[in-house]
Amino acid sequence: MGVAAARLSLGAVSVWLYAENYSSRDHLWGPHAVFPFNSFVRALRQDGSYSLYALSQSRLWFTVVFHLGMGVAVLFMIGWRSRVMTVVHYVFMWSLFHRNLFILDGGDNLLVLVLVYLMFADSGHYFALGARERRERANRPSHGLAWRIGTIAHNAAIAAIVAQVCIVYVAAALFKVQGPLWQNGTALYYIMRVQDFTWPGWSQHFYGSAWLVAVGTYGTILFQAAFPFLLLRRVTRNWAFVGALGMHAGIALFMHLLTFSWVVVSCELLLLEDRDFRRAWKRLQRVQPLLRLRIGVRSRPQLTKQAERRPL
Amino acid sequence: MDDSRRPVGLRTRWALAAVTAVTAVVLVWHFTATFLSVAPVNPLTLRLNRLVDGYTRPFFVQNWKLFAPNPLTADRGILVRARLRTLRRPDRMTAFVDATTPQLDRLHANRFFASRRARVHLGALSALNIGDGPALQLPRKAPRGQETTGQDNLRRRAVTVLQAEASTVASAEWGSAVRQVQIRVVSHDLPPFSQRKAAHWGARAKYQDLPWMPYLTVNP
Repeated sequence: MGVAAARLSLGAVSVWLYAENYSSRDHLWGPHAVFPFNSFVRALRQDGSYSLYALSQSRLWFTVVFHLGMGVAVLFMIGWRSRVMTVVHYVFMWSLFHRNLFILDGGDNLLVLVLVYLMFADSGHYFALGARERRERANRPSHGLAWRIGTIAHNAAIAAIVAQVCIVYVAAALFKVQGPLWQNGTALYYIMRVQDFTWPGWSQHFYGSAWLVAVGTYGTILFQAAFPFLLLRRVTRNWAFVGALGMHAGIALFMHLLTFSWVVVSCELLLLEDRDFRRAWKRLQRVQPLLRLRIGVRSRPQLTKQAERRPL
Repeated sequence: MDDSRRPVGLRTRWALAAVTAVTAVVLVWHFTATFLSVAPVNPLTLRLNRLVDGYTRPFFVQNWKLFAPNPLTADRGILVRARLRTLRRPDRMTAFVDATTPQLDRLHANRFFASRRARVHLGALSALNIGDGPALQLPRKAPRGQETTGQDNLRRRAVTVLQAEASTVASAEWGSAVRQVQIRVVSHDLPPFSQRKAAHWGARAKYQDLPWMPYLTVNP
C-alpha cells in the first residue's frame, strides 16, 4: 500500500504544483518566459537534456503541452493505467522543470528521480481507479515467469526509493557537519531569519529561543545522519517516519517549502506497512463523524483515499 | 502467497536468479554512483569523477546540500533602473526601484499556495554566489578554442534570467519606453546570533552593479 500511497501523494503534489503556478505559467515557462527561449534551447543542448517545451516556441504548443501535463498529473494521481502514466508523467515533469531551472528545489529534483524508480513498481494496486478488480484478478494463482520478474522489479523499485531518501539525508548531514554555523548550533537561526525563508511574525519566536535553535540545529543533523539506521528495525522505522513528518511539517510551515516537504514525505510513505495503513484507516473511521462534519459530505471512495493517505 | 508453494521448473528458477542478480548489481552500481555524485569531495569522488559524471548526467543529477555547509547569512535582493527613450528625452535614466520586496510580500501573503515567481531572481542570485562569497561571480569568457565550464554556463544563464526579470520590472514601471536595464544586487548581512534581538543592527548593505543590458521582451 505504501507505494500506491506514494504514487497518489506524488500525483497530488504535482497537481498542486501546476495549480499554484497556473496564473504565472507564461512568466515562468511560456514562449516568452523569464528564461528566454533561445537560452533555454542552448541550455538543453549543453546539458544533453530534453524538454517537450523546446519543440516549438508557438503559444499554442506551450498551452497544449502545459495543459496536457496537468491532465497527465491528474491521471497519474488517480492511478489510471499507473505504469504507463508514470512514464508519461515523468516526461512531462522533466520537461517542465527543465524549462526553467532557477525556480526548482530539492523536492522537484527528488520527484523526477523517484518517478524513474516508480516506473518499475506496480503502484496501481491500491488507491487507484479499478484497483479492486485488478487485485481480484491477481489473486488467481496462475502467475508465470513474467509476473515473478515483475515482482522482483517492484521490490527493487521500493528498495531504490528508500535508498534514494537515505542518500538525501546522509549527503545533507555530511555537508552540514562541515559548516561552522551547523557546528556551533546557530544555523537554524540564519535559515529562519533570512528573508527568503522567514515567516514574518512567527519565526522570531522560534529563533529567539536559544534552546529551540540549538536543539533544532543539532537535532536536524542527528536525525539526517541516523535516518538509514533507524530503518533497520520496525519500531525505529516508525519513529523515523514520525520524525521526518515533524521535521518536514516545520520546513513546510516556517520556510514555505511545502512542495519540497510533501515530496519527501510521500516517498517516506513506503516505510509504512499495510497494517499501518489499515490501522490508520480504522482509527480514522472511528472519528469519521467528526471528519464528515469538518470537511462536509464526500462520496465514500474519495474519503477512503484521503484517509488512508494520512497514516497518523 | 499460495502461489509461491507451486513447484517451479529449473529453468524458471535459473531465470529468476539471473534477474535478481542483475537487478542487485544495477541497484548497487546506481546508488554507489549516486552517492559519489552528491557526497563531499573525497579521494574516491576524485578518482571516479568522470565515470560517475558520465552516468549521472543529465538524468540522475542531484544535489542535497540543503542549507549546508553554509546557510545564507544575508538578505539579498535586486534593484532595477532603466534607460528610457521618449519623444521629449531620447536618453533618460530612471531611479532604482526595489524588485525583490514586492515578490517576497506576495510570497508571505500566501505561504502555501504561492507561485514560484519570487524564486526566479533569488534562484538566479544563488547561482551567482552572492551571500556566500564577497562578491558576485559573473561568467567569464572561455579562452579561444576552449569550451565553457558548466559553472560558467550556469552563471551565464543566471545573468540572462536576471536581465529578463529586470526587464519585466522595468516595463511594469516605465512602460514601453525602456531600452536598457541595469541591476544593482544588494546584500545585507543578518545580525549574528548573539545580537538577534537587537533593535538596531548596524551592518551596511553591500551593492554590486551589473553592466547595462538590453531590454528583453518577457511575458509578465
